[in-house]
Amino acid sequence: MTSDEMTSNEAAGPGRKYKLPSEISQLISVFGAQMRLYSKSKVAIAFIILALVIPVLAYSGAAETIIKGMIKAIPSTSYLLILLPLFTIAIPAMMAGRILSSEFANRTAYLLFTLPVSRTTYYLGKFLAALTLSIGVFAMAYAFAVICGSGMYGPSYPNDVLSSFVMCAVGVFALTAMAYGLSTYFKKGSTGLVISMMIFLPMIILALRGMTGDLDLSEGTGSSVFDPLMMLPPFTGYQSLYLIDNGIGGTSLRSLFKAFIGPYPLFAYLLVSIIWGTVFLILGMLNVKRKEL
Amino acid sequence: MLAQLFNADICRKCGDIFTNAIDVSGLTKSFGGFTAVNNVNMTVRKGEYMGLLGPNGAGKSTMLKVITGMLSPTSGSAFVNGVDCKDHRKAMETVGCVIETPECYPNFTPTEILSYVGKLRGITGPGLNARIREVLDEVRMWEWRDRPIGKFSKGMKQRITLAQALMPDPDILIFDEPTSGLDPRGLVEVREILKGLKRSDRSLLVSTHMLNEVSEVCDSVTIIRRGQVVLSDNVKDLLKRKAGNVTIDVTVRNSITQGFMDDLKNFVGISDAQRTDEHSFAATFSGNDDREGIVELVKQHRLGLFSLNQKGSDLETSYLSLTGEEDKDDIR
Ligand SMILES: Nc1ncnc2c1ncn2[C@@H]1O[C@H](COP(=O)(O)OP(=O)(O)OP(=O)(O)O)[C@@H](O)[C@H]1O
Ligand SMILES: [Mg+2]
Repeated sequence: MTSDEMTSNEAAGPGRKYKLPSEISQLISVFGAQMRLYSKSKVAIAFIILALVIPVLAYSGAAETIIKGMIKAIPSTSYLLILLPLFTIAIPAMMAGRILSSEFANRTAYLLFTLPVSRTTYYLGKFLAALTLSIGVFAMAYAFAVICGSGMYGPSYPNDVLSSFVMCAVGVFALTAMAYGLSTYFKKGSTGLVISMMIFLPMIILALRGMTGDLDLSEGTGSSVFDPLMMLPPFTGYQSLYLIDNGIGGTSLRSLFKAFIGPYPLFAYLLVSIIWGTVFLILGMLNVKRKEL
Repeated sequence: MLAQLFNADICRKCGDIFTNAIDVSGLTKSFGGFTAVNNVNMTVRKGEYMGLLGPNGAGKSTMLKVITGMLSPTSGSAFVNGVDCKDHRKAMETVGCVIETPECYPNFTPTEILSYVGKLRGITGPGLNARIREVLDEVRMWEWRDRPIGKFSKGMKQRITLAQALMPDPDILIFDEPTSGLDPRGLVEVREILKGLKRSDRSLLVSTHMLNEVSEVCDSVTIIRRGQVVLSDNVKDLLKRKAGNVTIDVTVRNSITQGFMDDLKNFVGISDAQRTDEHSFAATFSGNDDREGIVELVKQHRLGLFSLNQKGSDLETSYLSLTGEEDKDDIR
């Protein structure tokens, strides 16, 4: 315990004052409060349960049946892993897309923004909580999926698992920052917008590629021309599947997701995601700082 | 180390003597082309309880929001405890606010929200729990400390937001219509709490459009209309000065006699006296408000006093004339 803390403890009681804590400890308080809010939020709990349910889906064969019904073109292995790209989008959008806009809509900001705390502290503290939870839930889902996948399709290589996970985690950062930053511009948050953008954007790009004949998914041959747009975060899930499939998917998934991997080294993808996320984070922060209540 | 502490303390005390609690000068706030607060000057001294009075849309909330950093001023400045409001973190250090009916997280309990606010304000360790107990006692919500706030009534929520403002044991309290939307019972409860907060080293700036709130709780009043100050005065002086206009309605048990009415009309200080029906009359004072004298007169004539009411407070009279409530173009 520092001497500062001692003073403020002893100062408790009427007529005595408290010393304003540093911005870092305020940030930690904001982070803690947001985590506590998550622990009481139905959406967050639903996602954690969904992640926990993956092994059940996998070993009961339910995942295989569901996904096979949806996408016929996919080779018969690794059905489970195909959930991962969707998770990289859905988890951040649900976790980060509403927490800030709801503070304004539900008027809790009217209480918090009068306290001696800078808006940047609130903004970053809540973002760190959203990021922690998104990456945490995603890591859980990822670990279960990989373990189940290895169990079903044979072991993977530890190196590939690590780089594949790092790729996903950075993608989750990019999409969490995007959902969070954009949410400051919309009364009802950005969850719907981010999910639809992230699903339609790949579809549009794939459709364009398909039309020009550069991409042929049904044959599992992959594209011959790489589109730089495919370095963007909505595709990180597919890229990471390509990486991990070295070991557990045989050649099937690997050839399918080859379409999303260009001739660049891993760090180039990470850099794109980090820049993407940081830009959205700053856009949101500027908006919150100048917001009039 | 000790010497440093000592010096800091001395400086703080000197500062305390010379700075005002709140200093607003030339404050203007425009929304697009519309000026909600127009070149307002206002001072709240240390220990002063100031009521900010004005009709709907006068600019009360806008002014308080600029002071508390929710809006930035178009021009002019606001200082709290001598600190420019632009330095929000420092300016709000010893200030507790409730602006425009804020909400607490509905899933949180009073203990959780107060502990969050307490930590943000630097209250830690066992002192935190002790302080939570104190403020919850102060707003009479201790029994409800572990229930989710979402289930509370409006009045209870209001009291939790008051408790939140009291957490740092603030020198300055800024409340925006703390009794708005409450039923008569909640209104009385909150007003009692406000009165209980009074302390010689504490200042209050409270906006309201309820006159009795000002006369019950505040020492001073600033009346604003269309974003401009139309009057700023001590509540007592205002009442004294306007005493000439007081009219009282009196009801008695027995029939009012002509003899009594004659005596009443000749009573010193009475400018007008009317019998309104067999058992009641109205009397207007031109000079001193000597209502005790009137009660004596009623006794002398054995009329049996039943009730005595003041017709419209002095504050109300001046408020209505100053804010021009009657002209309808005020309602935007
Ligand atoms: N964000 C805003 N954008 C545009 N106009 C605004 C904004 N906020 C307030 N106004 C206008 O400024 C004027 C003053 O509003 P304000 O809320 O300060 O009034 P008030 O005195 O608090 O009234 P009330 O008693 O109704 O709370 C009103 O005409 C209002 O319409
Ligand atoms: Mg208002």
